[in-house]
Amino acid sequence: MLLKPIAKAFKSPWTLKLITKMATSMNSIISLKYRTEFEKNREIYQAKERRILDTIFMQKEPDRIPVTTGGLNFFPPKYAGITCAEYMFDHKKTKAAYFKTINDFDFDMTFPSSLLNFGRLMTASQLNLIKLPGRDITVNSGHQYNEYDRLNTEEYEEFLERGMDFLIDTLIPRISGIYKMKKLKRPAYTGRIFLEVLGWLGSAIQIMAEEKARGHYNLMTGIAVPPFDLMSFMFRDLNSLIRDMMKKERRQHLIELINRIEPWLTPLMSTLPKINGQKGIFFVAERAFSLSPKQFEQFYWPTLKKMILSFVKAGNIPFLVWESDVTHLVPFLLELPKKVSHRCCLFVDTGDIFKINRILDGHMAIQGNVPLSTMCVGTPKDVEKYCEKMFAELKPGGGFLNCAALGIPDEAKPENVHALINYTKKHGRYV
Amino acid sequence: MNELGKVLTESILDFDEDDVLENIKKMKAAGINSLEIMEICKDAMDKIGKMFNEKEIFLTELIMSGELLTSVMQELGLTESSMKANGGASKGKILIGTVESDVHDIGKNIIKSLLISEGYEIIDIGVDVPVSKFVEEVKNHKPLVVAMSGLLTIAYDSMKKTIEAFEKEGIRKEFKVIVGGGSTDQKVADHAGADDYGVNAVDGVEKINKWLK
Repeated sequence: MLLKPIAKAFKSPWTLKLITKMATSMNSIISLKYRTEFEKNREIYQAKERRILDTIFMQKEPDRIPVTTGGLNFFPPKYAGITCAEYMFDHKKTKAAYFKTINDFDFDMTFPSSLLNFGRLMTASQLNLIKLPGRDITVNSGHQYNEYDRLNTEEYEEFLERGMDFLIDTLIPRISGIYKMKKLKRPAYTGRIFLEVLGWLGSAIQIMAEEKARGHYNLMTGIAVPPFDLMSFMFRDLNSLIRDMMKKERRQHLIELINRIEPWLTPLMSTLPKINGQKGIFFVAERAFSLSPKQFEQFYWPTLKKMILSFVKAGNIPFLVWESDVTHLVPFLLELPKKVSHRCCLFVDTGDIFKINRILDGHMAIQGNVPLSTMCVGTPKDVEKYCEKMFAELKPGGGFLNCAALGIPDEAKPENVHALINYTKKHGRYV
Repeated sequence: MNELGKVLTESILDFDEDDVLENIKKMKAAGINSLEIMEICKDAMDKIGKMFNEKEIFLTELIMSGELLTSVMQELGLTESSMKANGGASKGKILIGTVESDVHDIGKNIIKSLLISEGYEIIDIGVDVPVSKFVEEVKNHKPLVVAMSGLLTIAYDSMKKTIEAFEKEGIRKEFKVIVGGGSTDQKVADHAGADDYGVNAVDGVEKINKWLK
């Protein structure tokens, strides 16, 4: 049974370096195949790259407002007419649906939605973190988190005391069903997991290499979450976490655990973008919006800020994907020095993008935020009207990327996506 | 009682469960009865609702208030039915569920807590509720309001199909429908055929209160 020794191997920093080296080598080899095609499309690719980076770095206005996919999830399968289950489980169908989408819609920046084809890997590893379409939920729904208490209330102290050992010998068995299997079956399953990791990684790298060769600019290949969110997804149901915040002793344990998780999480998540040489990190904060500024300052911001600073120091570009309405928390971003904030971009979801823009006042680039309802049940005219309103206030001076709130929603009407792109190309020019 | 009541209210607004339960014990020791203590807690909950609307507090604190209410009721040995038996009659029946293809329940659970504290009887039919189950449960329970929750954009069409099914069964006019959660707004309510939508849980409760007063 190799899972525990593999998990133990992660205690050494050399493990991560070795995996990164293997993945970057795989990327280099696969990219060779597409060298000639990339040369044909190099100008298109570099024009998009320049447009995006000029907007984010905010040193000058770009040639035009960029229009991006944002966090693209299951729009490709819905657009291509396959189920979410097929998208997550069948590598060939994932690739076909993803390329149909990015070929039919000419975005300035795409997003590796194809990485969602981890269905086979999840199934092989029997991880119970996620509900999968076709297995746990309807075939036409994207995956959803499976949150419940895997860390019991009385185990906080033991987790703090024993750290990684507790994670390996107590928590991981609660996360993976493999430990419930008969011992004789486990080696075969471990082998299968390894093959599925290679399959998933290989598919992802190959799609990203081909995408680049065709002139599509995809900056984001990394993903990160802050420790509070990790606690919520993996260890404690949100209601339990909230109860922890309400009780004096558990509150202290929670804060301590969050502080202990961060130094382990940051280098791991800093590594992913290196695989294909891109620098973007899709840094998701799903729970932040629900916290008051006081709670955010106590439980969330210290480690989040540390991670942002570390990512930028390592040369990455964090895209701060703060879900829902975070207008009340945006002032915290002003604490970041400009040499850091001008390497970040804030995705705006349902918050007031105009108020956020005024608060930031050139401190950080922002992306957003045609409402999801407009993209899904509105008309192209509704999309254009909202874009017009945004451009009037957000266009001057640069630092604005046009997109739907957080990203093109799964149920977006294709005509509305075209309207988003066409309006930006027609009215987004600076020169 | 005034001073003790004030201290209790402050500890509720501080969202510290240890202090709230400690203060309740003191009030009980001072001979104050459970229903009187509950009234103070309910007033604090009303304050919390107003503070949420004014954006002085946020969702986590709203959830905390629901959790506190549960702990308080446990400490006082009160249940929904015992409160009704003491004259706390139900203000009406509300059926709530997260629509088909969506398993999120946080929003649903928040509004459920608030509606219970308002004195409504809640029939919670769970998450990822198929259209047919919504219809079946509505026919069984005959609620005054059907509240549909959904976080994902896939919920928009699930809400629409559910309401269409109510119409097909000829029961649509027997109750009001409110939708809420995630990115739900007026466009979604119109698309689905709902009577209204909740901007947030507190807004949803206010709208339901207006319908059922």
